[in-house]
Amino acid sequence: MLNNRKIRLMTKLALYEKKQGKEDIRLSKYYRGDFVRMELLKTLVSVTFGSLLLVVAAIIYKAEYLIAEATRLDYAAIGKTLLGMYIILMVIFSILSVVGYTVKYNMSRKKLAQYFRLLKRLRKMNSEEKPQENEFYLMNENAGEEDTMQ
Amino acid sequence: MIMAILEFRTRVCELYQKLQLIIDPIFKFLLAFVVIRSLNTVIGYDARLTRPVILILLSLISAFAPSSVLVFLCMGLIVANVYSVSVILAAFILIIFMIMYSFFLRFTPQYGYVLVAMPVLYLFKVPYLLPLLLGVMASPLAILPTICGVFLYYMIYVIQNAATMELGTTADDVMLLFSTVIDTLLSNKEMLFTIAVFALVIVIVFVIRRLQFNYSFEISIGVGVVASIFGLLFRNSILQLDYNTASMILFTILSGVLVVVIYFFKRILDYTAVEHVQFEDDDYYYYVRAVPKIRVGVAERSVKKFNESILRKSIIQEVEEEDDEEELFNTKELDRRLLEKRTKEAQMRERYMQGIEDFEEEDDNEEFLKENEGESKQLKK
Repeated sequence: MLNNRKIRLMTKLALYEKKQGKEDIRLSKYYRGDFVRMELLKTLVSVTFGSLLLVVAAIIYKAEYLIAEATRLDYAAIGKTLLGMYIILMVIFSILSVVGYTVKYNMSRKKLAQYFRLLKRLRKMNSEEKPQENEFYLMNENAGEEDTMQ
Repeated sequence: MIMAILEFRTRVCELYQKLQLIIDPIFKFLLAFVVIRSLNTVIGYDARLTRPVILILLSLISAFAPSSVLVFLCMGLIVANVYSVSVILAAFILIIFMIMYSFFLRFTPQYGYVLVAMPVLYLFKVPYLLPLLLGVMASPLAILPTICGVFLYYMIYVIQNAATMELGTTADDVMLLFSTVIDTLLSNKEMLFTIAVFALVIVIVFVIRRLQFNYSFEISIGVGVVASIFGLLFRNSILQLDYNTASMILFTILSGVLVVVIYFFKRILDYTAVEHVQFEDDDYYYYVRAVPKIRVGVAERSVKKFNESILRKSIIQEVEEEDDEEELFNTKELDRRLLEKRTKEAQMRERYMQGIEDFEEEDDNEEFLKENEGESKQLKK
């Protein structure tokens, strides 16, 4: 027999999974530290890539000067300046991305809490319908909760 | 007046729910059509790419794809068009796009459309609309794509100039082209000022909208319009640009009005879209069509502050209305009335909270009963 309450609950869950929940559920597969570190790594790679492109553009832009003065240039000083700028960029982007992605993760956690609460209710309904599987469900539920709490 | 607006709103909602499957792609198609069309008019160098067939095909693709596809198509179109004029210039643009992506755009993929919208709105003379809209609907993070959008607009003009230079592919020519383009972009103070003004407008609108007072939304747009006008006037006077001031002011105000209209429709349509979801349990497959209920009523936020000075003022007003001038300066009388009013409010609040608690208790009871049912069943087993 159709259980209207259950259908309403499942619809709510499905809607969340389909829209905002997609991203939240993706994030829920990582621990916070792992997620932030992974995004930080991505940011650093992309910033490095962008900086390289900038340097290439600068070299072409100043090509005439560079070729004319090739023997007299102080390469060590240029290298140091470039490295300094690169490190400053890296630090700025690292701080911003660590803060930003931590906030993002925490916010998705908050939304997920509601989702898990509804899921729990659904499990309870299921176990009421099929008491044989009750123990198995409850065991699973507790194990899952510990995972998500960490 | 209010009733008419509400009726109009309800009718729009109902119509949208009925025709949603047709309206959404058509709207996206038109949007893509306008965007690609205007790109073609500005830098349509390659005759093969500006053919109507291609235009319609690309618009059709973006009608059924997410908005990031349109952005990607536009970038590709720009590069391809410039490629037919100068390979070097195309490579340069590609590098710029990649730098933009790795430094700015990858942090805000949801606002990618801003990048394309900015140059197009410039063509329609209402670029002021975008910062206002982003301040209202997005977070200050949207400043990043706005920067890229303004940059792209000015870059397109530099490309137009550079494309007429008709240079070869010898090393000297390449370097000349490169240094001309970069020089014109870096020395463009107008661009930097515009970016600063737009960023400021986004932040101002965002901050005011988040403040807690009545009509904060309307006031934020008003202040945003004023800030935008003054910022651009300041830019024009410092850099001595001779833009038409009157039309700028007019179009900025028009943008403000447009933002209100767009926001009105967005808020309606966001909560009236019919959703289709599928799921299953052990016994059934479910195909659910969830239609949101349309409520006639204005969701208005009003902030009440229980503040000593405001209360005092309101009481003084009351006293004034009673034409009792002597009592106005009688502080004891004032305190007595203050106390009276406070008690009344406290009583009302208590009654209100009581009501909420009762309601919650009912809900909890139901849950509790259900839970216990499960447990008792378990015990019986």
